Amino acid sequence: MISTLVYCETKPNPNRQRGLIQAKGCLANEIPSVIQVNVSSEACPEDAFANEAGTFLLKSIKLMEGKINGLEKEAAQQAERQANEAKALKEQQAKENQALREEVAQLKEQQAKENQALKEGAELQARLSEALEQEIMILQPLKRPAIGIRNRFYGTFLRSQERNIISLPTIITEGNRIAHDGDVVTDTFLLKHDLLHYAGTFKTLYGVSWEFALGLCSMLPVPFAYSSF
Amino acid sequence: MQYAPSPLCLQLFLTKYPLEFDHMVKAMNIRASALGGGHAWTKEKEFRKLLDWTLEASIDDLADFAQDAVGKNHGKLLFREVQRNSRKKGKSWFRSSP
Repeated sequence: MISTLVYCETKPNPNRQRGLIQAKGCLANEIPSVIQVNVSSEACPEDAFANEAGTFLLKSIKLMEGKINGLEKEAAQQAERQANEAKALKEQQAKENQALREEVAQLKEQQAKENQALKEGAELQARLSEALEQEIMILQPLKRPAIGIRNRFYGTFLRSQERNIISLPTIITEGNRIAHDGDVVTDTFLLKHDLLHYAGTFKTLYGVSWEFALGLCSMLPVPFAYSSF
Repeated sequence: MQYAPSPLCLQLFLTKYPLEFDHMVKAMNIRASALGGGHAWTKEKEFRKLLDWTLEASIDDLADFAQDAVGKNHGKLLFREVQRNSRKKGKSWFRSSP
């Protein structure tokens, strides 16, 4: 297509009809002066037809058209760049998110392992505590007899050395009593924990089974069993 | 008869019912000491009666037993009989110990 423009200016006329006729007349008068002009621009070289006044206007229009096209192209390029940047940013974000997810998963796994280790440690501690408590339960009734017996050993030796210690008879008597007399509390504890294996003899000596005696002895504090009778 | 309360239960029990059965522990020890030491044991009948009495005794009976100093309580009478089987006291520290 070849652009053609006839441009003129008319005086304003309050009568619209006359103004129109006047404008048409003005345009008709300008038609003979239409010539071929070059309205080429850097972006769009082309020829056109226009009168002298129209030539300037057409050049301006073409210039504006070129600028608009350039702006549109620039905007499109800008939009494309932004889209590419957004895409790259999104990809980078996705990579970072993936890395974060992997890191979180690793942390969770590590946390789970630590929790498991803590749980196992606590269970081990509980088992150890239980074993220690059990050991104390077993050893507690044996503490006093053991001390009494060992006291008697040293007391007997000191007596043979003719040492004049007032408490010796008491120590030895107590040790003898522990060694030779019945002790239902200690014996039931020992039988209960399989440290003695004389269940039948126990019944012969104490008159009741050790299980029955345990029912009575369990209600007594341990030291009480050693009080004199 | 299997009875093994936890230490805490035992502590609570002892706080509420202090030592009702200690006389039976003493009686069993007397019996075992006599038999284990080669002494005569002539109080089996009283021992059994004391055991029966203990198992059937109420908490009040056991409390009477504990407070009875003169031997009016039936259980106390039986217990004293059992105690009479005890060995002779004195010079026990000259016994066979090495």
